[in-house]
Amino acid sequence: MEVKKYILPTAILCLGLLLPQLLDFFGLQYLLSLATRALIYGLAASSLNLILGYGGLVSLGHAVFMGIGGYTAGILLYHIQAGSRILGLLLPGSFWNSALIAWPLAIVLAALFALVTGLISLRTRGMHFIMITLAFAQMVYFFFTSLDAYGGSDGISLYGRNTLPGLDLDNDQVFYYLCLVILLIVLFLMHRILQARFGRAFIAGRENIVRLQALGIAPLGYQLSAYCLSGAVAGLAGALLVNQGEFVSPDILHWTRSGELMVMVLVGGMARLFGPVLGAVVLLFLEEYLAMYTDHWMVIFGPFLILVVLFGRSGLYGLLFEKGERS
Amino acid sequence: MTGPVLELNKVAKAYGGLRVCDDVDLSVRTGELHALIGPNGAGKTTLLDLISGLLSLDQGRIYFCGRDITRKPLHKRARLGLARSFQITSLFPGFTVRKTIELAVQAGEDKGLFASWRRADGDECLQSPARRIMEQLGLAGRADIRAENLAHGEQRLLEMAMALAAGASFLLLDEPMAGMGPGSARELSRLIKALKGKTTILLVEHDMEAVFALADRISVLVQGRIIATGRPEEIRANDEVQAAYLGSKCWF
Repeated sequence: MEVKKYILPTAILCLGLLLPQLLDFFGLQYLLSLATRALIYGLAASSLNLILGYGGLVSLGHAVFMGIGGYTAGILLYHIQAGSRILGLLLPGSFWNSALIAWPLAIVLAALFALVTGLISLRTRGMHFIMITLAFAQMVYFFFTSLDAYGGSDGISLYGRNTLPGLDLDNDQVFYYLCLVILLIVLFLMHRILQARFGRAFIAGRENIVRLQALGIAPLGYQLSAYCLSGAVAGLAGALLVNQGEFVSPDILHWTRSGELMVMVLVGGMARLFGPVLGAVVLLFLEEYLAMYTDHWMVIFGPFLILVVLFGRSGLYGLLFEKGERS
Repeated sequence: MTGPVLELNKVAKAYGGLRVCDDVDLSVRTGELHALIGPNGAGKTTLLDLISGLLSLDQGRIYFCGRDITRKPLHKRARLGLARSFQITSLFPGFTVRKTIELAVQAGEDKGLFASWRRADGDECLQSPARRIMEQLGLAGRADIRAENLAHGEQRLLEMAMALAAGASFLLLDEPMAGMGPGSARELSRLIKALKGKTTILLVEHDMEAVFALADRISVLVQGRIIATGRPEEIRANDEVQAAYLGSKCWF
């Protein structure tokens, strides 16, 4: 029984590890970038799952953190490649090209934005929280569309990725493995946090916030910390996405992108650690294949989404892996 | 007994023109079991909401252990040792009995946000007090059932368990026996009796038999006003109290 429990996760992990070789073998190399994007979106959707699934905080502006992370990496790369100064002041040397500088910066800026907006939006609940997160995201969206120095709504094309000592990030296989490792580390950390006292109090806030206060625990600190953490992870996902596509535009933080992240969480399974990754994989691959047949692939995907949400309250993850168990 | 641990000074609360709490003065002494009774709609739950901080009051002051807590938020009052149970059962639906009680223990430890990286699963500091309380309340056999799947009486017990687990020095119990079968009501009554003296309790309860058997002192609340406070036998003999209750039914 115990052994049986580990067969499927091990199989999936092996598939993830061997995927580049398998794609090579079957001559499907073109799918590698799709798989990499699925991992990156899985990372972003997992960060949303932390606050949406476990915390009950329905944010409809989560892509804004991807946008901030993505633009941080993108703008740095742009200036390094063009050899120009940021805001006419700072001339970034090749030192700034390192992922060890650019990505932590993306994470910190996204977390800071989460801290400031979280302090304001976490004073509201329910529908108001949805609207206020959306409003903040749209503000940033319109800021970047009107930022002519960086291509406005057209965005900027980049030539090459950040560098990492010892790893060739321009190699798609290396980049795939890096994303996989980052995703696994983040999922482990999330799991650990949710198992801790922090997670108990944070999840209790979703279940009954007034009762939590009556027990003597103020939810704001927990929710704000989780919100910042979630923003930080989404910021990292944004930086990865921009590196992967070598392109950044305001599309990365359009509100429909936030909606897609939410769909990934819902389809995959709310409050399930691996749910959003599953959701991201399913959504991206369905989009890829359905779009071959029709531009209106959403017509097929819509009913699929409705069925999954109707029949599995914990999404595909619940339908596939929790047979007989109560959700 | 010693001086008052909880003191209400001219506390008033109105919803529009309706004065649900009208210049209420109340003092609860350390270690006593003080019962609050009154007809339906007298404002008993509102008064508990004001004391625990769920509602903010319009006028007056509330002192707890000599401190002015009038403007303190709900969670800070709970940290000072004011725990309450709710008349309308208020639980964490998806949490198991064990996890719920462990959370209350965690809340009572008052280690704060940044000590919370510690693993909660399998933590003896949380588990052993939780186990003790589950045994005390007869919930040990139901430890892994989710709160939403418990029978009503068990939910009421879990409500009590949370108030106990937080290790509070003062319990505000809002009709803990409401909707319980006679068996478990008697059980709970025994438990409250066992707490007497160790913990100060302000009890709102409709079961008059239990109230008169348990209480050291009783206050009677009618239409937002306290019309009498005294020992059970004094209340029983009070004309004003009898008159207030005559309209509904004879209850003792």
